Amino acid sequence: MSILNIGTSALTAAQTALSTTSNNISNINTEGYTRQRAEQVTRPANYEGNFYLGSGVTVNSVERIYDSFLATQVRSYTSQEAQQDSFLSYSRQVDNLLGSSELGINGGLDAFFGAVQEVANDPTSISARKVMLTEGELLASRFNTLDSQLTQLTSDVDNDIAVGVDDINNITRGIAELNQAILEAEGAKGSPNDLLDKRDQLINKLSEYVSVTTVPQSNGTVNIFVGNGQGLVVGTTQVDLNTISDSSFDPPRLNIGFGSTQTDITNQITGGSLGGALQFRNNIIDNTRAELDLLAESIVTAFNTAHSNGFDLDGNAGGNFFDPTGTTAADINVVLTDPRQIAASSGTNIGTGNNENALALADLQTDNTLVQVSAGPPPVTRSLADQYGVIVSDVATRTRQAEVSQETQQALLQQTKQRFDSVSGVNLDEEAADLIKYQQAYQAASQIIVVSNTIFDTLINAV
Amino acid sequence: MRISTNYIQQQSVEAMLRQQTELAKTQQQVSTGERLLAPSDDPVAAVRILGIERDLNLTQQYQGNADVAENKLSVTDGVLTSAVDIMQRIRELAVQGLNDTNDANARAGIAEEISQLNQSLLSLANTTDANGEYLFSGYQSNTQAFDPTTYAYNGDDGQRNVRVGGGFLVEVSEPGDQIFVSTNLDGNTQAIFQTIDDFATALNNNDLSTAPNNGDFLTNMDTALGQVFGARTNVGTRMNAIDQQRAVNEASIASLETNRSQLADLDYAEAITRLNQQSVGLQAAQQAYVKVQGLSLFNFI
Repeated sequence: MSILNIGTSALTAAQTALSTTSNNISNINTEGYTRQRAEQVTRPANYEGNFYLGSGVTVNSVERIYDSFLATQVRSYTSQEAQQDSFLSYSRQVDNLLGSSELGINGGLDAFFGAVQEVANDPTSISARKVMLTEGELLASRFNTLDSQLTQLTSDVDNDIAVGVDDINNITRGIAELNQAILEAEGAKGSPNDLLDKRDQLINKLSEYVSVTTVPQSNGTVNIFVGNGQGLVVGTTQVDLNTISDSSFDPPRLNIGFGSTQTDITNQITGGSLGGALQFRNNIIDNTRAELDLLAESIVTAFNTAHSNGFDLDGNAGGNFFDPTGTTAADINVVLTDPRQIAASSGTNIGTGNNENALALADLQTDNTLVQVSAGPPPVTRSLADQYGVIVSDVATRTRQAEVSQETQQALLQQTKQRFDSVSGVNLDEEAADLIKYQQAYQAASQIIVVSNTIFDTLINAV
Repeated sequence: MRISTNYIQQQSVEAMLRQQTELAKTQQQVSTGERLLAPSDDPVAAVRILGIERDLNLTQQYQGNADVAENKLSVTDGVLTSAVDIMQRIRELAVQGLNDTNDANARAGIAEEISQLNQSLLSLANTTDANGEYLFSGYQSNTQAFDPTTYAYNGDDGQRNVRVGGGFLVEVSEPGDQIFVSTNLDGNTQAIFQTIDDFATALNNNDLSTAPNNGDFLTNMDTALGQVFGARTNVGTRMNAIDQQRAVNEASIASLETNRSQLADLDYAEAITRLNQQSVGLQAAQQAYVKVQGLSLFNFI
């Protein structure tokens, strides 16, 4: 093998290495880019009778520097972090709603029962009675507003599901296409690094929506599963998720269906922003609404019963104060319109100055048996304010927990990303050093050509 | 360990963002003076604050109720004081009238004055408060307590209560029949106005020989006065009790407010120290970013 050939092989190898380095440098800000290395190996040596003579260098392959274990970890933490993040952004809204002094039920209860006490203080005063009616309506409207905010949040979740399902389908379609392209490229020689990067990036993006399991195949494709084994991508085929309307709720809400049969897999979905939104819907919305409804029902029932025991300013038996058919947070409303009809008087010595029933109504505020949480035995009961306290504390505790675990997941995700990047990310200083290294190799290889040329000239001149 | 250039950049940016978030939160705490910006900041404290605020509102309502009760009782007390004055004057006049040194004319004059005073006494018994409610007709507060001609009691024995404390209801009205209706020596139970009216008539007629319009009248007046005094004592006792309850409420408001403040209010000294630390931290992160970003081998190629 000639010196010239060896020199040329060194020049080519150095050039390839310089190209790879340049490619690394130029993709420093490309999302999802994995650094590449030109793998240089010796060319097969020639047997020269009694020894082997090396024949130069060649670039065997350009490899991605990639750790698939770390890549899987990054995905897994991405899903978990996204779930907490999405749950948290929702539950914070409910947390703020319930704690707000303008919307919170506690303030409404205090104001309403304060107005009842004023009627007890002065049962003949029409203005005190009017204030009590107004405060009753304001209390009801606090319930209504909270409920409609929860409904709004439910439709936000629906929106997230609809958008999420669309995006997931686009992403999985992309993955299936990339699987196809990779399958074809792997058939030829060399690894299709940029396609692999793109596919990894798509899988990472998918992990932000939902937790997925990836199963790499020997032919280079990757199968993707959600839930408990629903294959979104199998080889080069892709299956759509879709939204299905669940009308067992009012208003109907969206669930997630799988494939053409639209099998409901909502309860199997975990992780990612979808998992977080679903967790919020199950744990916060449904719970909070049930507890608020119980509170509303307890107020309506107890207040109406006590109110009906009394007699109004004109000596007529008291009717319903709240609409007896509106026993949910959404429907609660005051049915009484005439302040004279507030039944402040008790049944004994019925009279305009009789405030016994107003006192009884006011006492409901601190009655510890008003809200029946469970029938028992022994029955579990609470006061109205305590019931609201339980609602606030449930949401606050869950939100706090989510805050803590979101911080934890974020830290874990960052650490894992750092480890992943420490393997796969581009470091400019390193590339600069490589640039110098390969430039020197190139210069040295050029010298081989010069030397070979000089030797050749010497030989020619000798002739 | 090898790290990627992008990671250095990301880490610095994330550090700055985190510092900014913390700084913004502290800033919001300082500007609102609230330690808790949402219940989730401290769920246990948040729920305790809800409970404290309910108790605080209730106790403040009780203080307002106590004002109402005290007003009502002091009006009653004033009326009863005047009633006692009038009744004592009537009794003095009766003593004077019963004296045999008086002739018919003198007695008629005294009777005239007693009748006038009796009318005043009656109108006191039919006093209305600022809301136009009759003070002494029990729950029938829009009915005149005593008929001005028959002196019959038209009210009932309802006694209005006002809540001035968690377990404390106080009566703020006295039914008129327990003040102004009494049983005379002859066993007759009637309004004092009737008794006085009868005596005035007898005095006018210069006929003070038969019971009850003789010396018995003084005894009957004493019985009636005793009842009014009794009612005044009741009112006074209740006003004292309200004052005591007010002090109790005051103390619990103070302690509830202290508790609330400990749970909900911001410790400014701590928060401002934290604000300073955090802004120093943010500045440091920013400077570190600029310094680190300037480091590159490419600068030397």
